[in-house]
Amino acid sequence: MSKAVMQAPPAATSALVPEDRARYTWRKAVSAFTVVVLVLLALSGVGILGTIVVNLFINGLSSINLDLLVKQSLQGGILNALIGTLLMVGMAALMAVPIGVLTAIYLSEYGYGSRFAEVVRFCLDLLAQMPTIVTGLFIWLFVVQYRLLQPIGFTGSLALAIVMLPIIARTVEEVLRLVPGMLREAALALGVPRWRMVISVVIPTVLPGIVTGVLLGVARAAGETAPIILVAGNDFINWNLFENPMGAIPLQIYKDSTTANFPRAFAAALVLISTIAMFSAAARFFTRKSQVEY
Amino acid sequence: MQAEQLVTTQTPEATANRKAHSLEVKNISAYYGANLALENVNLRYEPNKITAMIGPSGCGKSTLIRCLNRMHEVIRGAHVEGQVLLDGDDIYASTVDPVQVRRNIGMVFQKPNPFPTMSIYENVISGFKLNNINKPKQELDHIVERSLRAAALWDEVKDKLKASGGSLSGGQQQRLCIARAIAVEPKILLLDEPCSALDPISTIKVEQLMTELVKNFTLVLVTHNMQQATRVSDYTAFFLAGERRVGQLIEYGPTDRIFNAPERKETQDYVSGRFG
Repeated sequence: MSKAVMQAPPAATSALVPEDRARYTWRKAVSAFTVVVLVLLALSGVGILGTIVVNLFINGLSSINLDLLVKQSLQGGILNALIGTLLMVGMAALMAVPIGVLTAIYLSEYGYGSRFAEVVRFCLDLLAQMPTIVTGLFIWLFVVQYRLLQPIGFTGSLALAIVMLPIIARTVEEVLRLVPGMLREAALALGVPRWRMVISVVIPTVLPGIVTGVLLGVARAAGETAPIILVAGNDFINWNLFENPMGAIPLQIYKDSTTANFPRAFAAALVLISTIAMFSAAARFFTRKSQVEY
Repeated sequence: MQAEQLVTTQTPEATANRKAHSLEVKNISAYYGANLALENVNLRYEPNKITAMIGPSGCGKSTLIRCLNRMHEVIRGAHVEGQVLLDGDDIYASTVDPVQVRRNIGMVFQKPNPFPTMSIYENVISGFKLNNINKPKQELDHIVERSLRAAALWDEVKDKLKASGGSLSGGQQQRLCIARAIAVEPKILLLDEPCSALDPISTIKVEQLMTELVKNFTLVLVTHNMQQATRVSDYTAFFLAGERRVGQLIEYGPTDRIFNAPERKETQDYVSGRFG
């Protein structure tokens, strides 16, 4: 017994040192290996994004030139699609942002915890998960079957607004819930009416988050093809939302892909992504000042 | 500490103008949904005195203080029965606007909660700003200085009034919240465990502040800390939830008597540290 103790390394006499050294070493090795695998798997998302962006630049950058941005579809440009996307998305945002933000304010500040709010929230979640081609079909139904709508730019805006609305409402609601309840109570205890508390305390506290939530919805709609595929599309520039259909960049990409015009498809994709990124950056810049810690 | 300074900064007229205001609770019961949390409390808060409300967790003392400025009903499903009389007027009368009640009865919360988007200066005058009460800049400057001095915070922040309220330490933030509450000159000041999130040094400062504020305000203090009640309060109310888990007022009286010669055995057990 005493001999065995003598043979063991001196540290082994401590209760803190594992008796079975080989087992401990094996456990550490397995642990290290697992972490490496997990990190590699986690990097796959980064890798996929990187690959997409790099390939987009490789294939799209060479086709980006002034003609692309100032000429219409048939002359090799995407100006008609760019204008269509900006106008349709802008109009859709004009409709969906106020409704979405006000819905979020209701859900977070007035209806929170009520049965009705739960139903609304559930429906918004379903709407957000609705395949957008179904939204497109729904709009088409109103145009062709019921003849209530015309295939004009505004109809495309309606479809895009349907895509935006649940995303904006739910994201902004989540952001508003981040405002600590004690800030609401602080305002109420000062004799501030609830509506003013919402406008002057709750919203300013998380304004950057609200803007991000709105942008998420707008960016998502800007990239959608399916909802407008049946009501939009125009090879010529159309500035009027209420007469004739409009082109859109996602549609242009789809059309160019099916007609093997890949250079322009990639260039258009690059323009679309850059436009969205520019808007995001601008909005973040303007709301940066109101960023707060709490 | 700044005791002398505090005294000297009270302008005579400001002190003279302040009338003593009383608050009286009559048959107050408070509910969360269908659950009775506090049953039939009758209590009078003496003007220009500090009344401490003590008791173990769940005894209803925080629920009661929230009934005193109609903050209890802000919680979904919560409601109150009974009367709270501010200088004789029932704040629960059907014609009363709860918003007006809260402008007259200020409140300081457990955790310091300055508005993070506002500067120190803006926080102090937020009671006016958020209610769209416009005052000339000069008057606002005066209110800010007076409130911060009264909250014993002026010397520490006078050079950085434009800094965010969140940049202060916890104790300073709590004194800022007190300054914010007293800036609108409420008739009553409610303090719901104002020191529970503070370190001992900050606690002492806030306690000293309370003993100064009581010259001008009627103070109601909820505290977990029995030593704090003995240090600062004139009267003490002891609450306890029995087997039904419904909070009740067990005993009320001058703080000395409650701690040294309580009439009820439950009070004796609690103040001697036998439970809770």
